[in-house]
Formats: sequence, structure tokens, C-alpha cells
Amino acid sequence: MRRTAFLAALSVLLTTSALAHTHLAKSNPADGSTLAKAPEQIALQFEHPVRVTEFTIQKGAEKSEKLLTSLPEAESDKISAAAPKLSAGAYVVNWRAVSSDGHVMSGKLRFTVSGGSAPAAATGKPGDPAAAH
Amino acid sequence: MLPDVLSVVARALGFVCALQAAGIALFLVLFEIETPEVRSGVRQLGWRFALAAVALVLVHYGLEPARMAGDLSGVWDSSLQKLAATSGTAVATAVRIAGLLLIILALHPRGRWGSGAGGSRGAGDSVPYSPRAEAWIGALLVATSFAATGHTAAAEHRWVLGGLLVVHLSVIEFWFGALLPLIFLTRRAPLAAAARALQRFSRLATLLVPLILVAGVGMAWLLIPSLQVFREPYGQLLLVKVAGFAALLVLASLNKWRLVPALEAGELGAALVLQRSAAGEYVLIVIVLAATAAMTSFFSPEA
Repeated sequence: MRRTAFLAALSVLLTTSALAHTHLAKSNPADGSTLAKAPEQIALQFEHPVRVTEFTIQKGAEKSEKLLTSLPEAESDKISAAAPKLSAGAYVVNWRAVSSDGHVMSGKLRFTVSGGSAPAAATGKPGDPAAAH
Repeated sequence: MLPDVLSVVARALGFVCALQAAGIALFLVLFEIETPEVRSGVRQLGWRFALAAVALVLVHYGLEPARMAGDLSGVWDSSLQKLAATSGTAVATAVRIAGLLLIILALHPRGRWGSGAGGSRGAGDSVPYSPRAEAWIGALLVATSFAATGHTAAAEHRWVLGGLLVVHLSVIEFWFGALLPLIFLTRRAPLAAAARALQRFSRLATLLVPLILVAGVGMAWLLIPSLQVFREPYGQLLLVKVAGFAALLVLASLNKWRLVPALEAGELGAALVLQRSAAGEYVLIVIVLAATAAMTSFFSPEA
């Protein structure tokens, strides 16, 4: 019984640790917004550093397109990418991120472009520290 | 979407099998089954659940890179595999598998509980291996593995939350794990022996089951930031769990106060009604475990 109690304490010590669980704090564009012209950049900001594992944009039922050719491997509380050429319409940015406790979070950022598109943008670099609105 | 669905299904089934296997190991430690055939049957059932649990835990872990990528092709992504391997999920998987392997060892056919039907050992036979320690430690490791990841591991009072979660799950293992063996007993063992086992279980359950609620309320108190959470999916699934637990208490009370005494008194049909009631408890617990798998996979109390 003493051995069991010792193992119980040891296993709780080993399995609990200081980890952060996080949420999306801000985004650019804001979720649900309607924009007169297409954004030049799409950015997400999280409450705590995360590792982003999916960051794509989709128009309607069309195939989704990656916003970055390669995602950063380091954790960060921000991720941004230059927006591709966007015509008028409704868009969804799909994202997934892994917080430091291993929890996989996912979300969608929806916005509508009512006007013309921004000039064509180059593929964004991973980990750009551009601030979100 | 598909990786999420597959992951939560594997997770829910893994919960059921792991807690069932751990619970059967505890049942065999705590309650002497007088009939060798029934004891062997229960042991085999636990062994099969433990093996199934190992497979499902590994499948769930294997799907983690796919969940991260949002696509099944993520399974082959080496950077995501590495990320999964350094996460709390990896620790939880390792601890759970270790616990299940100890349970598999405890339930091995060559152990004390593997004595064959009608087999009494001869004078020259070696003493059968006694798996009590492995059963206890294995069941404890399975319960503890759930504290390695998720909200209880990430929150501010993680030590208290971890302890509460281990208590919560250990008692659930005890309760859930006993239902199938008790159904087995009422079907295969002499009714008097089944009634004795049910009475012993009932006495212990009366002491332990309230701890599920106490630990659950404690965790909710520490994790839930405001009552607003009950308008969100996390809080609504938590209410499903609470409703399931309330229904379980009603069934368990019916068993304790009405059906077990009827069985002891030899009332006709009591065994069948008791089996159905226990089966009802089993289904309710499976629903609660499925709600837990969904709740903890996709939602957060801070949403």
C-alpha cells in the first residue's frame, strides 16, 4: 500500500506541469467583418505562444489555399501572411494551433470583401511579427 | 473534420475500454469470486478490454499529427509527429499504456485469477502468481494518465486538479468496472454467491461513489470562470454529464434498496431485472464518457 501511495504521488508529479492553454485574442480582419477592399495581410494573435499547424484561406466551397508555404516551427503568439489576391466574396480562414499543453485548437475567421481586390501579394514569410488590428 | 471525428471516436472508445479494464482488475482485487468459471470469464473479459484499450490509445495518439494538420495526410508529417511526441498527449499515452500493460500482466491466464474451471492445484504445483499490486498500480496509472494533458494539467491549481481528477476517475473505474462482472455473476454463479458479491459491492459503492460528485464539483469550481460557460458547448456537455450522473444515482439506488434485497430473498425474476438495471447503468456511463471525450477534445471552459 505504501508503494502504491508513493507511485500515485510520483505519477501525479510526473504528469502535471506548468502549461499554458490559449485562445485567439485578435485577428485581422476581425471575425465577421465586411471590408470595402481586400485586406493586404491576414494576421492572428493568440493569448499565449502556440505552434500554428494549419493556416489556410477558402472562398465558398472552393479548395482551400495555404497562406504560407511553410509554417513556423517555433511557438509564437502571432502569425501573419500577405493575403493572396481576393475578389469580392465571402472568405474563411481556417486555422489550427497546438498550445504548449499539447491541446489542439482550431478556429475559423470569416470575413467578406465587398469591393475590389488589393494588388497581388508575394507569398508571406513565416513568423512575420506584423501586428493584428 | 475527418481527423477530428476519428480522433474523438478512438478517444471515447479508448476511455471505455481503459476504464473497464482497470475496473475489472480492481473488482478482482476487491471481491472474491467464489465460482472459478465466473472468475476466469471475468478475467478474460478484462484482458480483452485491456488489449483493445492499448490499440485504441495508440490509434488516438497516431491521429494527433492529423488533427494538428486538419487532414489525414498529417499522419506522415515528421515535424507534427515530433510535436505530438513532445506534447502532454504523449506523456498521457505512455502512462496509460504502462498502466494497461500492468493490468494485462495482472489478468494473465497464469496468474491467480487465471485458475481454470474446477482446477484445484495439486500438492506439487507452484503457488500461482498474485497480481494484486500490478492491478492496483495499473488501475492507478490509468486514472493518473488523464491528468497529464488538457485543462487539469494547464490550469493554475494543477496539483489540486490532478489529485481531484485521479480520485474522480479511480472511483469511476471501480463503479464502471464492476457492472459487467456483476452481470456475469447474476447469470452464471449461484444466486446466493451473486447476492453476497452485490451486497459487498453496494456497501463499498455507497462510501466511494459520492467522491465522484465531490471531486467533480471541486474541478468545476476551479476550472469554470463563470456561469456563462453553460451557454457554451463545454458547459452544455458538462450538464449532460451531470444529468447522466443523476440518472445513474437513481438506478444505483434502485439496485441497492430494491433489487439486491429481492435477489437475496430469492424473488423470481430479480436477477433478470437487476441485470437490465446494471446494463442501463453501463450505457449511461458510456454516454457520459463519450460526452467527456467530445468536451475535452474540442472545447474549453474558458471559451
